[in-house]
Amino acid sequence: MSAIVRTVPDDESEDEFGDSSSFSHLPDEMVLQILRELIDLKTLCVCKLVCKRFFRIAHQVRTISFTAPSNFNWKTSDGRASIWSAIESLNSFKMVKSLSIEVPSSCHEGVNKRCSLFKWKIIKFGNKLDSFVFLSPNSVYHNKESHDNENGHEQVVEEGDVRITKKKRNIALQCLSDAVRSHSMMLICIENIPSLEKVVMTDSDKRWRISVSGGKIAEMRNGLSSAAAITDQILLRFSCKVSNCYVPLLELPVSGYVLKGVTLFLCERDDLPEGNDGSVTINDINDNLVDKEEAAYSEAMMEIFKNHSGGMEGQDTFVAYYVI
Amino acid sequence: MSTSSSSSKKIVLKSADNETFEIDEIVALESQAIKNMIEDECADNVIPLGNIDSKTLSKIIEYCKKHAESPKKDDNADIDEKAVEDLKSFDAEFAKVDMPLIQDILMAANFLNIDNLIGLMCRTIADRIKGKTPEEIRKILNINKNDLLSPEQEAKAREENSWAFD
Repeated sequence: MSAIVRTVPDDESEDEFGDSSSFSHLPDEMVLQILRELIDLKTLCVCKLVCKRFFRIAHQVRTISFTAPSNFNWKTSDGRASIWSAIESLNSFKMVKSLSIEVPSSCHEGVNKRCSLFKWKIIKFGNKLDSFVFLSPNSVYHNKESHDNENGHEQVVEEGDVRITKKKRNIALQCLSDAVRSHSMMLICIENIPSLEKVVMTDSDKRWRISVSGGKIAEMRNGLSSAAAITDQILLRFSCKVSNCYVPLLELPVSGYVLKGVTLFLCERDDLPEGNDGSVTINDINDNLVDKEEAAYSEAMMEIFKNHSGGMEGQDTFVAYYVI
Repeated sequence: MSTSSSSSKKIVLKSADNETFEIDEIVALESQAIKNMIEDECADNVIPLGNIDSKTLSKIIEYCKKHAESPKKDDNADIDEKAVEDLKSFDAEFAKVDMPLIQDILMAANFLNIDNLIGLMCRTIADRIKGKTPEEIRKILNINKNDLLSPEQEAKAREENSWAFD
């Protein structure tokens, strides 16, 4: 019986609390549960300032999601880019297990009507980015019917257009720089947050998504040699072989999508260790996909590596330096 | 729904201000704490809840009644969506009360161990502080002055997270 009756507040004790809220009487675990509902990094940073308990307990949350405001960017124009200061404030949340980051989509030069469809993926990575693929069709149809309706049943083979390929290459290399930066951001998070078990990064246009979890994170953490302090600017050198492939028409059996005039760029780090020729296997791409269109692009990448890899051409080297 | 059959066993809850509430046992079982007491056979017919006032207790009973009547998720894999929606809108309406009462309900739900209700109250509080400034949140939660960070601590935290205050 006494189990349920803890205290019987008499009139005096009620007076003592007076009109002060019950907030100070809420157990810490309830405060933690409230703060766990917030998820959003900005909200959590604001909440830390509310009072001592919030400050202390906010650092115990397990899931954080950070959506960078649209005026945040990668580029360092006047010293550090705003996005990094937000990532830095993640460091105090040492118990976070699951982190998702959405960055604003980059405004790439040369993206126009004819080159507006593209997505990219990091196919292989460890503590370095190993291979990156960029896929850009001239047009996308959600199914065979809509393709046939628009194009008629006779297939007109669209030849690759050198100018468009050049433009797309340019966009692909800009995306590659986003990939290198995102990958370093992920590494920095893994390094600074010891409890991290899952990281998902994406951009607001859903043109790319990188996710890493479990054993892979442990592997990456073990491989971290020198501590790359986030407070220092880091100069990244990235050198890769770039090859490309053009497929006039791609019918995708699984998603049902039909892609026309597809250009694919594959960038592979040119200092890959011996025995790892970076050859792309299907499993590398086939991670769990939520978005239908994302799945279709992935399927297209697989399809090209499987059936059109003979058409891969060009093996030039691209070297870039990034300051983050 | 067998839950409201008149023959079912009754439980009486007594609030801090000595008001009694007679409810079906199945409603009381929504509270894990009461359930444990009943299972351990240490509950009399009247369960005194010395730290829950009648206003809070009647809200909690309202909640438990509704949730006891609703089909449970694990009962049946394909329970109709209408019931789920109905419960959702009940929860939304239920949470439309002032902050002191929300905190009292949360305290009591924690004490009575009613998981769903704890979750609902925590979400409600979280929703109300989202997008607010620290000053506004202090007001909303009626935070005691003695509990604030020192001005130095606050300035430091503001500096470190300045991007969040732009």
